[in-house]
Amino acid sequence: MVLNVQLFLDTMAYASVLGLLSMSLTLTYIVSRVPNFAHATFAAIGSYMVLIVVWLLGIYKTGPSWGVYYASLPLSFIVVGAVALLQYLIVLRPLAKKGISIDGLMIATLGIDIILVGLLNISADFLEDIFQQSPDKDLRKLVTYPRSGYLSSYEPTIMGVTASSILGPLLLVVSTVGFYLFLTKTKFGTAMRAAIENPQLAETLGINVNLVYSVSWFIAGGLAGMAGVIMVMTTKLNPTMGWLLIVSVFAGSIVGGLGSLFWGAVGGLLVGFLEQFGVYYTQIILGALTGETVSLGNYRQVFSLGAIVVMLLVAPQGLASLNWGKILSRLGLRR
Amino acid sequence: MAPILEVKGVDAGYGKLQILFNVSMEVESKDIFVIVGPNGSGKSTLLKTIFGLTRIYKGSIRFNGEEITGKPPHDIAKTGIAYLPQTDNVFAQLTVAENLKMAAYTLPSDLAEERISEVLERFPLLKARLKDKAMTLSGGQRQILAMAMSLIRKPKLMLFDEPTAALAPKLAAEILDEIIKLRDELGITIILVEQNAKKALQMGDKALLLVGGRVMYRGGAKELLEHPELGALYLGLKK
Amino acid sequence: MPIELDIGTLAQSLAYFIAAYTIVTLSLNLEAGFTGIPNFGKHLFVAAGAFVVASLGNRLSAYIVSVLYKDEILKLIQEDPLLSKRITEADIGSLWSMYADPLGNRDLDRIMDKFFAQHPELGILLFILILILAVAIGGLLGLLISYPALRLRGEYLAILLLAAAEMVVMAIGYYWKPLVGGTTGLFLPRYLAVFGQKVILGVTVLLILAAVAMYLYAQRIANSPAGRMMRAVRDDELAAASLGKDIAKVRRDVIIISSAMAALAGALIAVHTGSVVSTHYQRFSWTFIPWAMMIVGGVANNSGVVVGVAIIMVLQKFVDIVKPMLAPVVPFDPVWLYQIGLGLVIILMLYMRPQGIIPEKPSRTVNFEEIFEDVLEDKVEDEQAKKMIREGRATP
Repeated sequence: MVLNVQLFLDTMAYASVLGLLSMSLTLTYIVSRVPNFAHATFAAIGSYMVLIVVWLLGIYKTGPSWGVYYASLPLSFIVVGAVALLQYLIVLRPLAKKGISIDGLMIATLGIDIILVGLLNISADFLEDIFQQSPDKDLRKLVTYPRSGYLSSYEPTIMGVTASSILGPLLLVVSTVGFYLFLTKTKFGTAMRAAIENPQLAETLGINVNLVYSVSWFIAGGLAGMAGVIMVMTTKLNPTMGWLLIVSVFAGSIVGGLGSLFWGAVGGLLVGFLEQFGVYYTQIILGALTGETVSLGNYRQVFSLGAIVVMLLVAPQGLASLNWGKILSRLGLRR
Repeated sequence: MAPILEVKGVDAGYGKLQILFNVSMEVESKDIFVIVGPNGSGKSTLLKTIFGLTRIYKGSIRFNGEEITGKPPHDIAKTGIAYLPQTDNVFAQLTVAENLKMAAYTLPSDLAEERISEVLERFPLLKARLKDKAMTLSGGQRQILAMAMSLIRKPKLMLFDEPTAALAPKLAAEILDEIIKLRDELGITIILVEQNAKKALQMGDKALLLVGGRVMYRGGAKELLEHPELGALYLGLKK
Repeated sequence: MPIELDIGTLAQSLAYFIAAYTIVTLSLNLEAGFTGIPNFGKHLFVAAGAFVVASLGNRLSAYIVSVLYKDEILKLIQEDPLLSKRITEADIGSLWSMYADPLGNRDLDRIMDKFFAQHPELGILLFILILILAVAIGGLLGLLISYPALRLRGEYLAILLLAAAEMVVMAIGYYWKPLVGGTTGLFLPRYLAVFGQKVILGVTVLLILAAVAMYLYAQRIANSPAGRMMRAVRDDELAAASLGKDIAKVRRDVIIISSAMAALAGALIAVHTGSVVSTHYQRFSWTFIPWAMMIVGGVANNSGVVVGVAIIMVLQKFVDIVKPMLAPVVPFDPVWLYQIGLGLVIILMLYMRPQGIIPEKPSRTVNFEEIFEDVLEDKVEDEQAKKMIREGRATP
């Protein structure tokens, strides 16, 4: 089989999650010039918001419901946005002001990741306790969820298609277009581009550079949180779910060149497709060669790592730096 | 008449490194005040010190009778001083229109539009390039854009840091003409740091010669130009 | 609530952890502290040593023993009622392949344990062989990593190393069972039967000796011309290159040596524990904690590293001791508080004392950066031009 519809739908959800995460990671990198190693754990916090919504809104009783999305998308945007804002205001900005080297800033983000995962673990312990001791037997069934829950059983379907396969791409398109309009059509968005390009000049013109950077971090965190809501529909809930995912997120950002939001989104999407279809076709080929069923889903990050290595060694500035006009005309796609 | 800007016995520099030593100067309103001196004598540092971009160890700076010593740059900008750095004085990734909009960032929107159309009248070449990114402008056009951006806030005093560096002679002359017009037509006081000492001294009213961070000469610009020794010694001027 | 403390066990376990972390953190310090190579994938190299011991070492020793001592092994199997049912004479040649599954792993360990009990000298020989193998493969891995490492800037290299480490440990290590048995792990035979019942103490002593040796080695490197060259490369690559230093070679050598050191630690940890489980080689334990130790103790200072290791390990032991007291009071596992606390410590340390408790000694080499800055301030007046020169976009 050359194309598999279900695989394509699953990939749409997963790849748009990576698109959102790579785009928002790129935003924090443009602003603060430090790769945020806690970024995928931002998404994990968003994922936990879904479990909390499933519990508090009683969705565990009623079954699949749109409430999962209505409630957890805004909730995760605000909560994770606030986490990202605090990371910038309390940790990264003071350290950068003190002139700490980039190595120091990176290890600080690794420290934040450890703290966030610790907090998620504490929350997971709390939730397990609450679920276990509940008189409600439906709720007691959720006891394994905080550390290994498949929340996709609570998401609705649209004509047989899981909502995440449609909402994911929709969210990515809306936020990319929204970002574009915000940055080019609004005064504050223009000020954001100005402050990122030349903070000194922006400061002398009376632009509040610190406010601009704070807003950027909040939005980046919020987008990562919403990506986490979609992400948890494609995988298992766990406090350390971000640790392997960060490989794919960095791959997407590096493919995009870590310099442009649009290309960050494209990079994330491409890496998502590369991983999913790479695994799928490798399985088919290895299966045909060995005559056995081969399952490689757990090794999808191999393709991301490959993308990072190839990109850094071949085109370190990412896809954004390539001369697309020339490439298209070479390929005969444009005259 | 009291001077618009008064610098008194200023020692200043970066961190522990002192560059300026006991520098004093007085700038009269609506004058073109020229600062000249050999390379590395502290000319740019003096401009930055006025605009609050260096550390001042000693001395005081007063603008319009108001103490501005040690104030941060954005506060100094509010008092009516504009500073045009030599490079990076426009947002290269933004269009010309966006650059002007950013220059009017703190103004209410109707006033901002009014001021922007005013400066576009003054510099028609920008009008034709409104939708182009600033990075596509030539060096001279960029200086004009930077000038336009400062004018939006109607400054009383403008500090120019080598506005003609890296420009072809003809373009350089045009920029200097624009600066003279700013004074003649808008009554803006100008402090100019210039590599081309001869040109600058010809257009200037008063001048200051800085050597090694110390004041060597203070007085009329023409007099410095005609000084028997100083010009030849420090400015490469032929007698 | 009274707590019972077995001081002997506590001291021994503390000594083991301090020794193991000293080796790993010294190797990190050679890379990150002295040479400016931000290795954010240190756990990959520690895991490499352990994985080599568990996968290659296990198989190799089983193969060598079953070929050289076929009859004795056969006798051992036939004497054991359980094993004789599962393993026949025909399997002897392929005994090594039994490591692929957990049951075979346990069977094989029983045979090997008995064999080494009878031939302790052979156990020692194989132990040494496997250790050399682990160190060599660690060095090779370093060589492999040095290719991208020579071409990439700081943050990109950090991303690449972290990504590679997570991929190998969390994907392949967790799920590819033939390597080290996935998340259930693999047991190792008791190579060091020579220590009898005191095998853990014996390996701890070996680890301490290795840590002392590595400390002396790291000190020698730091005080040698090579050490000064490393710092020159870290402080100003351009200036170092202009003085005719072969930067690529310095960086490559440092990465190879550090990787081999980390692999040595990983191998000894595996032998100490008697098993290898991929989940024990995570980012937190073997990348984050060594970084924390280096930053707390002192960057680019070997004595500082030892101090940092000691402080954090004593802290961890303290948490281990108070944990049972805290457990009934707080409604979650107190170990998370330790993780959060460590995260906070590193951030506070960066904020208040980024040079660490024992700062780097002023080096006896030329400080390029200072000279560069002095000259720059002297000769170039314009800030913008200075910025451009510093960033290498213009020449003075």
